[in-house]
Amino acid sequence: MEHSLTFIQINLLFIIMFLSAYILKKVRVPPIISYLLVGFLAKFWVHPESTRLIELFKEAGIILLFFFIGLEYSFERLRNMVSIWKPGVVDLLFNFFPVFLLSLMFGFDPILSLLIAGVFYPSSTSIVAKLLMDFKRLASPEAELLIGILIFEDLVAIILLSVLIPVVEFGSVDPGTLPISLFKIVLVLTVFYLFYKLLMPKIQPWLDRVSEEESFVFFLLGLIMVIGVSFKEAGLSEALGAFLLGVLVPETRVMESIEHHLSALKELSIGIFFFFFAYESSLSLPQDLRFVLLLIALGIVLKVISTYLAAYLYGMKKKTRLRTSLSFVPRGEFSVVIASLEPSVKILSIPFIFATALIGSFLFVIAPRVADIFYPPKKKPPKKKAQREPFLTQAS
Amino acid sequence: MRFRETDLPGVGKRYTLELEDGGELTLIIHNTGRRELYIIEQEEEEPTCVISLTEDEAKDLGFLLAGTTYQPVAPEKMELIMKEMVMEWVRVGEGSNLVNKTIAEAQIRKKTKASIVAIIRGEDMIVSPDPYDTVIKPGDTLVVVGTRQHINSFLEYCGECYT
Repeated sequence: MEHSLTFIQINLLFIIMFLSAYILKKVRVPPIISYLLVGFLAKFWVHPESTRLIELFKEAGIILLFFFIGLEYSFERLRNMVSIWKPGVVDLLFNFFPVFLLSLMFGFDPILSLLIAGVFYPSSTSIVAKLLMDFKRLASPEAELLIGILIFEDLVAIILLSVLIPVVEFGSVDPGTLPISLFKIVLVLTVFYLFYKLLMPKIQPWLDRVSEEESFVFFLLGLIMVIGVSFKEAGLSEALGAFLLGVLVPETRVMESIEHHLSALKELSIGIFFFFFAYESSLSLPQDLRFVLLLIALGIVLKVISTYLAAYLYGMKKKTRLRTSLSFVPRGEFSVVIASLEPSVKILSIPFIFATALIGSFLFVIAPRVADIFYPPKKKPPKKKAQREPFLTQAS
Repeated sequence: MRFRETDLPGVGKRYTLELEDGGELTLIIHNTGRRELYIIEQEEEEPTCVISLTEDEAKDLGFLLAGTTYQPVAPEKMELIMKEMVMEWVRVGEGSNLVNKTIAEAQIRKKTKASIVAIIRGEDMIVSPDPYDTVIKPGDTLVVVGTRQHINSFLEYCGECYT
Protein backbone atom coordinates (compact mmCIF):
# COMPACT_ATOMS: atom_id res chain seq x y z
CA MET A 1 0.00 0.00 0.00
CA GLU A 2 2.70 2.45 1.08
CA HIS A 3 4.68 1.61 -1.99
CA SER A 4 1.86 2.12 -4.45
CA LEU A 5 1.12 5.50 -2.87
CA THR A 6 4.63 6.74 -3.50
CA PHE A 7 4.32 5.30 -6.95
CA ILE A 8 1.17 7.22 -7.68
CA GLN A 9 2.70 10.35 -6.23
CA ILE A 10 5.68 10.20 -8.59
CA ASN A 11 3.60 9.54 -11.65
CA LEU A 12 1.20 12.33 -10.76
CA LEU A 13 4.29 14.47 -10.57
CA PHE A 14 5.13 13.54 -14.16
CA ILE A 15 1.69 14.65 -15.28
CA ILE A 16 2.07 17.90 -13.38
CA MET A 17 5.46 18.44 -15.05
CA PHE A 18 3.74 18.18 -18.41
CA LEU A 19 0.80 20.38 -17.49
CA SER A 20 2.93 23.16 -16.07
CA ALA A 21 5.27 23.14 -19.05
CA TYR A 22 2.32 23.09 -21.42
CA ILE A 23 0.33 25.85 -19.73
CA LEU A 24 3.30 28.12 -19.04
CA LYS A 25 4.46 27.74 -22.62
CA LYS A 26 1.34 29.67 -23.60
CA VAL A 27 2.80 32.71 -21.88
CA ARG A 28 6.29 32.11 -23.29
CA VAL A 29 7.82 30.67 -20.15
CA PRO A 30 10.58 28.24 -21.14
CA PRO A 31 10.09 24.60 -20.04
CA ILE A 32 13.21 24.65 -17.85
CA ILE A 33 11.59 27.35 -15.69
CA SER A 34 8.37 25.35 -15.34
CA TYR A 35 10.33 22.24 -14.25
CA LEU A 36 12.15 24.29 -11.62
CA LEU A 37 8.86 25.73 -10.39
CA VAL A 38 7.34 22.27 -10.06
CA GLY A 39 10.46 21.29 -8.11
CA PHE A 40 9.95 24.09 -5.61
CA LEU A 41 6.26 23.38 -5.20
CA ALA A 42 6.87 19.65 -4.81
CA LYS A 43 8.75 20.37 -1.57
CA PHE A 44 5.34 20.78 0.06
CA TRP A 45 3.72 17.53 -0.95
CA VAL A 46 6.19 15.02 -2.37
CA HIS A 47 7.92 12.87 0.20
CA PRO A 48 11.70 12.57 -0.27
CA GLU A 49 11.27 8.79 -0.04
CA SER A 50 9.12 8.83 -3.19
CA THR A 51 11.71 10.63 -5.24
CA ARG A 52 14.20 7.79 -4.75
CA LEU A 53 12.29 6.00 -7.49
CA ILE A 54 13.50 8.45 -10.12
CA GLU A 55 17.07 9.05 -8.99
CA LEU A 56 18.35 7.14 -12.00
CA PHE A 57 16.87 9.78 -14.31
CA LYS A 58 18.41 12.55 -12.27
CA GLU A 59 21.84 10.97 -12.76
CA ALA A 60 21.11 10.44 -16.44
CA GLY A 61 20.04 14.04 -17.01
CA ILE A 62 23.44 15.74 -17.30
CA ILE A 63 25.01 12.71 -18.95
CA LEU A 64 22.41 12.50 -21.71
CA LEU A 65 22.39 16.26 -22.20
CA PHE A 66 26.11 16.29 -22.92
CA PHE A 67 25.97 13.11 -24.94
CA PHE A 68 23.48 14.80 -27.26
CA ILE A 69 25.68 17.89 -27.51
CA GLY A 70 28.52 15.54 -28.50
CA LEU A 71 26.31 13.99 -31.18
CA GLU A 72 25.94 17.39 -32.81
CA TYR A 73 29.70 17.69 -33.13
CA SER A 74 31.99 16.12 -35.60
CA PHE A 75 35.59 16.90 -36.47
CA GLU A 76 34.49 18.42 -39.76
CA ARG A 77 32.08 20.65 -37.95
CA LEU A 78 34.72 21.87 -35.55
CA ARG A 79 36.79 22.92 -38.54
CA ASN A 80 33.87 24.99 -39.84
CA MET A 81 33.79 26.91 -36.59
CA VAL A 82 36.72 29.13 -37.51
CA SER A 83 34.40 32.02 -38.34
CA ILE A 84 32.84 31.84 -34.92
CA TRP A 85 35.89 31.95 -32.70
CA LYS A 86 36.16 35.76 -32.54
CA PRO A 87 32.52 36.32 -31.52
CA GLY A 88 32.88 33.39 -29.14
CA VAL A 89 35.94 34.87 -27.45
CA VAL A 90 34.24 38.28 -27.11
CA ASP A 91 31.29 36.57 -25.46
CA LEU A 92 33.65 34.80 -23.04
CA LEU A 93 35.70 37.90 -22.22
CA PHE A 94 32.63 39.99 -21.41
CA ASN A 95 30.58 37.43 -19.55
CA PHE A 96 33.10 35.40 -17.59
CA PHE A 97 36.02 37.45 -16.28
CA PRO A 98 34.24 40.60 -15.06
CA VAL A 99 31.89 38.53 -12.92
CA PHE A 100 34.78 36.43 -11.61
CA LEU A 101 36.52 39.62 -10.44
CA LEU A 102 33.29 41.06 -9.07
CA SER A 103 32.68 37.92 -7.01
CA LEU A 104 36.20 38.15 -5.57
CA MET A 105 35.52 41.77 -4.65
CA PHE A 106 32.33 40.74 -2.87
CA GLY A 107 34.43 38.41 -0.72
CA PHE A 108 33.82 35.01 -2.36
CA ASP A 109 36.79 32.67 -2.48
CA PRO A 110 38.36 31.89 -5.88
CA ILE A 111 36.56 28.57 -6.35
CA LEU A 112 33.12 30.03 -5.62
CA SER A 113 33.94 32.98 -7.86
CA LEU A 114 34.82 30.61 -10.68
CA LEU A 115 31.52 28.81 -10.19
CA ILE A 116 29.52 32.06 -10.12
CA ALA A 117 31.21 33.20 -13.32
CA GLY A 118 30.43 29.77 -14.79
CA VAL A 119 26.75 30.19 -13.95
CA PHE A 120 26.76 33.72 -15.32
CA TYR A 121 28.51 33.05 -18.61
CA PRO A 122 26.63 30.64 -20.89
CA SER A 123 23.35 31.48 -22.60
CA SER A 124 20.77 28.75 -22.81
CA THR A 125 21.07 26.66 -25.94
CA SER A 126 17.65 25.13 -25.52
CA ILE A 127 15.81 28.40 -24.84
CA VAL A 128 17.47 30.44 -27.60
CA ALA A 129 17.19 27.70 -30.21
CA LYS A 130 13.53 27.12 -29.34
CA LEU A 131 12.75 30.83 -29.53
CA LEU A 132 14.45 31.13 -32.91
CA MET A 133 12.23 28.31 -34.15
CA ASP A 134 9.00 29.55 -32.56
CA PHE A 135 9.40 33.11 -33.80
CA LYS A 136 10.40 32.10 -37.30
CA ARG A 137 13.81 33.70 -37.09
CA LEU A 138 15.88 30.73 -38.20
CA ALA A 139 16.22 32.25 -41.67
CA SER A 140 17.56 35.51 -40.28
CA PRO A 141 21.29 36.27 -40.42
CA GLU A 142 21.55 36.19 -36.61
CA ALA A 143 20.45 32.56 -36.32
CA GLU A 144 23.79 31.37 -37.65
CA LEU A 145 25.80 33.60 -35.31
CA LEU A 146 23.76 32.85 -32.19
CA ILE A 147 23.83 29.11 -32.72
CA GLY A 148 27.54 29.39 -33.44
CA ILE A 149 28.24 31.19 -30.17
CA LEU A 150 26.05 28.69 -28.32
CA ILE A 151 28.21 25.87 -29.63
CA PHE A 152 31.35 27.74 -28.60
CA GLU A 153 29.83 28.17 -25.14
CA ASP A 154 29.01 24.47 -25.01
CA LEU A 155 32.67 23.66 -25.52
CA VAL A 156 33.81 26.19 -22.93
CA ALA A 157 31.22 24.86 -20.48
CA ILE A 158 32.52 21.33 -20.91
CA ILE A 159 36.10 22.47 -20.32
CA LEU A 160 34.90 24.49 -17.31
CA LEU A 161 33.11 21.50 -15.84
CA SER A 162 36.15 19.29 -16.42
CA VAL A 163 38.26 21.77 -14.49
CA LEU A 164 35.73 22.76 -11.84
CA ILE A 165 34.58 19.32 -10.75
CA PRO A 166 37.95 18.10 -9.47
CA VAL A 167 38.58 21.52 -7.92
CA VAL A 168 35.24 21.48 -6.10
CA GLU A 169 35.88 17.87 -5.02
CA PHE A 170 39.15 18.76 -3.29
CA GLY A 171 37.80 22.05 -2.05
CA SER A 172 40.92 23.96 -2.92
CA VAL A 173 43.15 24.73 -5.83
CA ASP A 174 45.90 22.48 -4.59
CA PRO A 175 48.92 22.87 -6.90
CA GLY A 176 49.59 19.15 -6.37
CA THR A 177 46.29 17.97 -7.84
CA LEU A 178 46.35 20.16 -10.92
CA PRO A 179 49.01 18.25 -12.89
CA ILE A 180 47.26 14.99 -12.06
CA SER A 181 43.95 16.31 -13.39
CA LEU A 182 45.64 17.64 -16.49
CA PHE A 183 47.41 14.34 -17.01
CA LYS A 184 44.09 12.50 -16.72
CA ILE A 185 42.44 14.75 -19.28
CA VAL A 186 45.32 14.38 -21.74
CA LEU A 187 45.23 10.62 -21.26
CA VAL A 188 41.47 10.49 -21.88
CA LEU A 189 41.76 12.62 -25.00
CA THR A 190 44.56 10.42 -26.35
CA VAL A 191 42.59 7.24 -25.77
CA PHE A 192 39.57 8.88 -27.33
CA TYR A 193 41.51 9.97 -30.42
CA LEU A 194 43.07 6.53 -30.92
CA PHE A 195 39.65 4.99 -30.59
CA TYR A 196 38.24 7.38 -33.15
CA LYS A 197 41.05 6.82 -35.63
CA LEU A 198 41.75 3.11 -35.29
CA LEU A 199 38.74 1.33 -33.88
CA MET A 200 35.74 3.30 -34.99
CA PRO A 201 36.04 2.59 -38.74
CA LYS A 202 36.26 -1.13 -37.93
CA ILE A 203 33.19 -1.36 -35.70
CA GLN A 204 31.02 1.13 -37.56
CA PRO A 205 29.32 -1.44 -39.84
CA TRP A 206 28.55 -3.58 -36.81
CA LEU A 207 27.12 -0.54 -34.99
CA ASP A 208 24.88 0.29 -37.94
CA ARG A 209 23.59 -3.27 -38.01
CA VAL A 210 23.03 -3.59 -34.30
CA SER A 211 21.33 -0.20 -34.03
CA GLU A 212 18.32 -1.68 -35.81
CA GLU A 213 17.62 -4.02 -32.88
CA GLU A 214 14.82 -3.19 -30.45
CA SER A 215 17.10 -4.03 -27.54
CA PHE A 216 19.74 -1.55 -28.71
CA VAL A 217 18.44 1.04 -26.26
CA PHE A 218 19.66 -1.08 -23.33
CA PHE A 219 23.19 -1.21 -24.64
CA LEU A 220 23.11 2.49 -25.43
CA LEU A 221 21.85 3.73 -22.11
CA GLY A 222 24.04 1.29 -20.18
CA LEU A 223 27.18 2.31 -22.03
CA ILE A 224 26.57 6.04 -21.79
CA MET A 225 25.79 5.86 -18.08
CA VAL A 226 28.77 3.63 -17.30
CA ILE A 227 31.15 5.97 -19.14
CA GLY A 228 29.62 9.03 -17.50
CA VAL A 229 29.73 7.66 -13.99
CA SER A 230 33.25 6.25 -14.41
CA PHE A 231 34.48 9.66 -15.46
CA LYS A 232 32.89 11.14 -12.38
CA GLU A 233 34.53 8.53 -10.16
CA ALA A 234 37.89 9.21 -11.80
CA GLY A 235 37.60 12.83 -10.69
CA LEU A 236 36.86 14.07 -14.18
CA SER A 237 33.52 15.41 -15.27
CA GLU A 238 30.74 13.10 -16.42
CA ALA A 239 29.87 15.83 -18.92
CA LEU A 240 33.24 15.34 -20.60
CA GLY A 241 32.84 11.57 -20.83
CA ALA A 242 29.35 11.74 -22.26
CA PHE A 243 30.34 14.49 -24.67
CA LEU A 244 33.33 12.57 -26.03
CA LEU A 245 31.20 9.48 -26.46
CA GLY A 246 28.72 11.54 -28.44
CA VAL A 247 31.47 12.89 -30.70
CA LEU A 248 32.59 9.33 -31.42
CA VAL A 249 29.26 8.33 -32.92
CA PRO A 250 29.66 8.26 -36.69
CA GLU A 251 27.16 10.19 -38.77
CA THR A 252 25.58 7.11 -40.25
CA ARG A 253 22.46 5.10 -39.60
CA VAL A 254 23.48 4.49 -36.01
CA MET A 255 23.23 8.23 -35.32
CA GLU A 256 19.60 8.40 -36.44
CA SER A 257 18.79 5.31 -34.49
CA ILE A 258 20.35 6.74 -31.33
CA GLU A 259 18.44 9.98 -31.65
CA HIS A 260 15.27 8.04 -32.19
CA HIS A 261 15.87 5.76 -29.19
CA LEU A 262 17.10 8.31 -26.71
CA SER A 263 15.58 11.70 -27.37
CA ALA A 264 12.44 11.08 -25.31
CA LEU A 265 14.57 9.65 -22.51
CA LYS A 266 16.80 12.70 -22.63
CA GLU A 267 13.81 15.08 -22.34
CA LEU A 268 12.54 13.11 -19.37
CA SER A 269 15.90 12.90 -17.61
CA ILE A 270 16.90 16.50 -18.06
CA GLY A 271 13.44 17.61 -16.89
CA ILE A 272 13.81 15.47 -13.78
CA PHE A 273 17.32 16.81 -13.22
CA PHE A 274 15.93 20.38 -13.20
CA PHE A 275 13.14 19.25 -10.92
CA PHE A 276 15.62 17.85 -8.40
CA PHE A 277 17.77 20.94 -8.65
CA ALA A 278 14.87 22.97 -7.28
CA TYR A 279 13.44 20.24 -5.05
CA GLU A 280 16.72 19.77 -3.20
CA SER A 281 17.56 23.42 -2.72
CA SER A 282 16.74 25.28 0.44
CA LEU A 283 14.10 27.96 0.12
CA SER A 284 16.18 30.59 1.84
CA LEU A 285 16.88 33.98 0.38
CA PRO A 286 20.45 34.59 -0.70
CA GLN A 287 22.60 36.34 1.93
CA ASP A 288 23.52 39.23 -0.22
CA LEU A 289 20.52 40.46 -2.19
CA ARG A 290 22.45 43.42 -3.57
CA PHE A 291 24.93 41.07 -5.15
CA VAL A 292 22.19 38.98 -6.76
CA LEU A 293 20.42 42.03 -8.18
CA LEU A 294 23.73 43.29 -9.51
CA LEU A 295 24.33 39.90 -11.15
CA ILE A 296 20.94 40.01 -12.84
CA ALA A 297 21.45 43.55 -14.13
CA LEU A 298 24.94 42.70 -15.38
CA GLY A 299 23.66 39.44 -16.81
CA ILE A 300 21.43 41.44 -19.11
CA VAL A 301 23.70 44.42 -19.86
CA LEU A 302 26.96 42.54 -20.46
CA LYS A 303 25.29 39.94 -22.68
CA VAL A 304 23.65 42.64 -24.78
CA ILE A 305 26.93 44.53 -25.22
CA SER A 306 29.01 41.44 -25.97
CA THR A 307 26.47 40.07 -28.46
CA TYR A 308 26.31 43.46 -30.19
CA LEU A 309 30.09 43.40 -30.57
CA ALA A 310 30.02 39.78 -31.72
CA ALA A 311 27.47 40.71 -34.40
CA TYR A 312 29.69 43.62 -35.44
CA LEU A 313 32.68 41.29 -35.78
CA TYR A 314 30.50 38.96 -37.78
CA GLY A 315 29.89 41.76 -40.27
CA MET A 316 26.22 42.42 -39.69
CA LYS A 317 24.24 45.56 -40.50
CA LYS A 318 23.44 47.95 -37.65
CA LYS A 319 19.82 46.97 -37.42
CA THR A 320 20.60 43.25 -37.33
CA ARG A 321 23.25 43.86 -34.68
CA LEU A 322 20.70 45.51 -32.43
CA ARG A 323 18.18 42.73 -32.93
CA THR A 324 20.82 40.09 -32.32
CA SER A 325 22.12 41.75 -29.16
CA LEU A 326 18.70 41.61 -27.51
CA SER A 327 18.19 37.95 -28.38
CA PHE A 328 20.85 36.22 -26.34
CA VAL A 329 20.12 37.01 -22.69
CA PRO A 330 18.33 33.82 -21.52
CA ARG A 331 20.40 31.57 -19.25
CA GLY A 332 19.32 28.02 -18.62
CA GLU A 333 20.54 24.47 -18.51
CA PHE A 334 24.29 25.09 -18.24
CA SER A 335 23.88 27.57 -15.45
CA VAL A 336 21.81 24.98 -13.62
CA VAL A 337 24.41 22.26 -14.21
CA ILE A 338 27.26 24.42 -12.91
CA ALA A 339 25.22 25.77 -10.01
CA SER A 340 24.34 22.23 -8.92
CA LEU A 341 27.98 21.63 -7.95
CA GLU A 342 27.79 23.83 -4.88
CA PRO A 343 24.81 24.55 -2.58
CA SER A 344 25.83 28.10 -1.68
CA VAL A 345 26.17 29.03 -5.36
CA LYS A 346 22.81 27.40 -6.01
CA ILE A 347 20.96 29.83 -3.78
CA LEU A 348 22.47 32.77 -5.66
CA SER A 349 21.87 31.17 -9.03
CA ILE A 350 18.19 30.38 -8.75
CA PRO A 351 16.94 33.98 -8.85
CA PHE A 352 19.57 34.80 -11.46
CA ILE A 353 18.51 31.95 -13.76
CA PHE A 354 14.82 32.70 -13.32
CA ALA A 355 15.23 36.40 -14.03
CA THR A 356 17.52 36.07 -17.03
CA ALA A 357 15.48 33.26 -18.58
CA LEU A 358 12.23 35.20 -18.32
CA ILE A 359 13.53 38.69 -19.08
CA GLY A 360 15.73 37.23 -21.81
CA SER A 361 12.77 35.49 -23.46
CA PHE A 362 10.84 38.74 -23.31
CA LEU A 363 13.71 40.71 -24.85
CA PHE A 364 14.01 38.10 -27.59
CA VAL A 365 10.35 38.57 -28.49
CA ILE A 366 10.47 42.36 -28.60
CA ALA A 367 13.90 42.57 -30.28
CA PRO A 368 12.56 42.90 -33.86
CA ARG A 369 10.15 45.63 -32.79
CA VAL A 370 12.86 47.54 -30.94
CA ALA A 371 15.06 47.29 -34.02
CA ASP A 372 12.18 48.65 -36.12
CA ILE A 373 11.81 51.64 -33.78
CA PHE A 374 15.50 52.54 -33.99
CA TYR A 375 15.83 51.82 -37.68
CA PRO A 376 12.38 52.25 -39.23
CA PRO A 377 11.82 50.05 -42.26
CA LYS A 378 11.73 51.91 -45.56
CA LYS A 379 8.19 52.78 -46.52
CA LYS A 380 7.04 50.52 -49.27
CA PRO A 381 3.68 50.46 -50.97
CA PRO A 382 1.34 49.23 -48.26
CA LYS A 383 1.38 45.51 -48.01
CA LYS A 384 -0.04 43.19 -45.45
CA LYS A 385 2.65 42.57 -42.89
CA ALA A 386 2.72 39.17 -41.32
CA GLN A 387 1.22 39.38 -37.86
CA ARG A 388 3.69 38.54 -35.18
CA GLU A 389 2.49 36.60 -32.21
CA PRO A 390 1.55 38.87 -29.36
CA PHE A 391 3.53 38.48 -26.17
CA LEU A 392 1.70 37.31 -23.05
CA THR A 393 -1.71 37.70 -24.62
CA GLN A 394 -2.21 34.45 -26.38
CA ALA A 395 -5.73 33.20 -26.46
CA SER A 396 -5.37 29.48 -26.13
CA MET B 1 21.10 30.35 -58.85
CA ARG B 2 23.35 30.40 -55.82
CA PHE B 3 22.76 28.14 -52.85
CA ARG B 4 24.35 28.91 -49.52
CA GLU B 5 24.40 26.00 -47.14
CA THR B 6 24.84 26.57 -43.43
CA ASP B 7 24.80 24.20 -40.53
CA LEU B 8 22.56 24.99 -37.60
CA PRO B 9 23.82 22.40 -35.12
CA GLY B 10 21.08 21.06 -32.94
CA VAL B 11 18.44 22.44 -35.28
CA GLY B 12 19.20 21.19 -38.76
CA LYS B 13 20.48 22.55 -42.05
CA ARG B 14 19.74 25.81 -43.76
CA TYR B 15 19.86 26.50 -47.49
CA THR B 16 19.53 30.02 -48.81
CA LEU B 17 18.69 30.67 -52.42
CA GLU B 18 18.98 34.12 -53.94
CA LEU B 19 16.09 34.68 -56.30
CA GLU B 20 16.15 36.62 -59.54
CA ASP B 21 13.90 39.36 -58.22
CA GLY B 22 16.38 40.15 -55.46
CA GLY B 23 14.49 38.29 -52.76
CA GLU B 24 15.68 35.28 -50.83
CA LEU B 25 14.21 31.88 -50.33
CA THR B 26 15.45 30.01 -47.29
CA LEU B 27 14.82 26.36 -46.70
CA ILE B 28 15.38 24.90 -43.26
CA ILE B 29 15.45 21.15 -42.89
CA HIS B 30 14.97 20.39 -39.23
CA ASN B 31 16.53 17.35 -37.66
CA THR B 32 12.99 16.24 -36.91
CA GLY B 33 12.29 16.05 -40.65
CA ARG B 34 10.06 19.11 -40.69
CA ARG B 35 10.80 21.61 -43.48
CA GLU B 36 10.28 25.33 -43.37
CA LEU B 37 10.35 27.66 -46.35
CA TYR B 38 10.93 31.34 -45.72
CA ILE B 39 10.34 33.92 -48.39
CA ILE B 40 12.15 37.18 -47.67
CA GLU B 41 11.60 39.96 -50.17
CA GLN B 42 14.24 42.40 -51.30
CA GLU B 43 15.27 45.00 -48.70
CA GLU B 44 13.08 43.29 -46.12
CA GLU B 45 14.18 41.99 -42.75
CA GLU B 46 11.17 39.94 -41.83
CA PRO B 47 9.99 36.98 -43.87
CA THR B 48 6.90 37.78 -45.92
CA CYS B 49 5.68 34.27 -45.41
CA VAL B 50 6.73 31.04 -43.80
CA ILE B 51 5.56 27.66 -45.02
CA SER B 52 5.91 24.67 -42.77
CA LEU B 53 5.76 21.16 -44.22
CA THR B 54 6.05 17.64 -42.92
CA GLU B 55 8.66 15.40 -44.50
CA ASP B 56 6.11 13.66 -46.72
CA GLU B 57 4.47 16.88 -47.84
CA ALA B 58 7.88 18.30 -48.67
CA LYS B 59 8.78 15.29 -50.79
CA ASP B 60 5.51 15.46 -52.74
CA LEU B 61 5.97 19.17 -53.29
CA GLY B 62 9.53 18.56 -54.40
CA PHE B 63 8.36 16.21 -57.12
CA LEU B 64 5.78 18.73 -58.27
CA LEU B 65 8.32 21.55 -58.30
CA ALA B 66 10.74 19.46 -60.31
CA GLY B 67 7.94 18.69 -62.75
CA THR B 68 8.43 14.96 -62.46
CA THR B 69 5.04 14.03 -61.08
CA TYR B 70 2.99 11.84 -63.34
CA GLN B 71 -0.40 10.87 -62.10
CA PRO B 72 -2.05 8.08 -64.06
CA VAL B 73 -5.56 9.09 -65.01
CA ALA B 74 -8.53 6.93 -64.29
CA PRO B 75 -9.67 6.28 -67.88
CA GLU B 76 -13.34 5.71 -67.14
CA LYS B 77 -13.69 9.13 -65.57
CA MET B 78 -11.67 12.19 -66.40
CA GLU B 79 -12.86 15.72 -66.25
CA LEU B 80 -10.92 18.39 -67.99
CA ILE B 81 -12.15 21.60 -66.60
CA MET B 82 -11.18 24.44 -68.83
CA LYS B 83 -13.24 27.26 -67.44
CA GLU B 84 -16.65 25.99 -68.43
CA MET B 85 -16.06 23.00 -70.63
CA VAL B 86 -16.49 19.52 -69.27
CA MET B 87 -15.51 16.31 -70.99
CA GLU B 88 -17.40 13.24 -69.93
CA TRP B 89 -16.96 9.58 -70.84
CA VAL B 90 -20.42 8.07 -71.19
CA ARG B 91 -21.09 4.37 -71.61
CA VAL B 92 -24.19 3.50 -73.63
CA GLY B 93 -26.38 0.82 -72.04
CA GLU B 94 -28.62 -1.74 -73.78
CA GLY B 95 -31.80 0.22 -73.14
CA SER B 96 -30.51 3.66 -74.09
CA ASN B 97 -32.54 5.96 -76.33
CA LEU B 98 -29.50 6.40 -78.57
CA VAL B 99 -28.97 2.76 -79.48
CA ASN B 100 -28.92 2.07 -83.23
CA LYS B 101 -29.32 5.73 -84.15
CA THR B 102 -26.87 7.99 -85.85
CA ILE B 103 -25.89 11.18 -84.07
CA ALA B 104 -27.96 13.22 -86.51
CA GLU B 105 -31.04 11.03 -86.10
CA ALA B 106 -30.88 11.37 -82.38
CA GLN B 107 -30.61 15.18 -82.75
CA ILE B 108 -28.19 15.26 -79.89
CA ARG B 109 -26.88 18.80 -80.51
CA LYS B 110 -30.34 20.21 -80.84
CA LYS B 111 -31.88 18.50 -77.84
CA THR B 112 -29.03 18.65 -75.33
CA LYS B 113 -26.49 21.18 -76.65
CA ALA B 114 -23.73 18.65 -75.94
CA SER B 115 -21.53 17.26 -78.70
CA ILE B 116 -20.03 13.85 -79.18
CA VAL B 117 -16.41 14.35 -80.11
CA ALA B 118 -15.32 10.71 -80.10
CA ILE B 119 -16.63 7.19 -79.73
CA ILE B 120 -14.58 4.45 -78.10
CA ARG B 121 -15.64 1.05 -79.37
CA GLY B 122 -13.66 -1.86 -78.01
CA GLU B 123 -10.07 -1.24 -79.03
CA ASP B 124 -10.95 1.38 -81.61
CA MET B 125 -11.52 5.03 -81.25
CA ILE B 126 -13.58 7.00 -83.74
CA VAL B 127 -12.49 10.61 -83.46
CA SER B 128 -15.00 13.27 -84.61
CA PRO B 129 -17.57 10.72 -85.78
CA ASP B 130 -19.63 11.60 -88.86
CA PRO B 131 -23.11 12.54 -87.54
CA TYR B 132 -24.86 10.94 -90.55
CA ASP B 133 -22.83 7.73 -90.77
CA THR B 134 -21.85 6.64 -87.33
CA VAL B 135 -24.41 4.47 -85.60
CA ILE B 136 -24.30 4.33 -81.81
CA LYS B 137 -24.16 0.79 -80.45
CA PRO B 138 -24.73 -0.55 -76.93
CA GLY B 139 -21.39 -0.78 -75.06
CA ASP B 140 -19.95 2.27 -76.84
CA THR B 141 -18.24 4.86 -74.75
CA LEU B 142 -19.07 8.34 -75.98
CA VAL B 143 -16.76 11.23 -75.29
CA VAL B 144 -19.14 14.13 -74.77
CA VAL B 145 -18.24 17.80 -74.48
CA GLY B 146 -20.32 20.63 -73.10
CA THR B 147 -21.03 22.56 -69.94
CA ARG B 148 -22.00 20.64 -66.84
CA GLN B 149 -25.61 21.48 -67.61
CA HIS B 150 -25.38 20.25 -71.21
CA ILE B 151 -23.85 16.99 -70.06
CA ASN B 152 -26.58 16.50 -67.48
CA SER B 153 -29.34 16.98 -70.02
CA PHE B 154 -27.46 14.65 -72.38
CA LEU B 155 -27.40 11.94 -69.73
CA GLU B 156 -31.09 12.42 -69.11
CA TYR B 157 -31.84 12.19 -72.82
CA CYS B 158 -29.55 9.20 -73.29
CA GLY B 159 -31.55 7.16 -70.79
CA GLU B 160 -29.64 4.08 -69.75
CA CYS B 161 -26.17 5.56 -69.79
CA TYR B 162 -23.37 5.45 -67.28
CA THR B 163 -20.53 7.82 -66.56
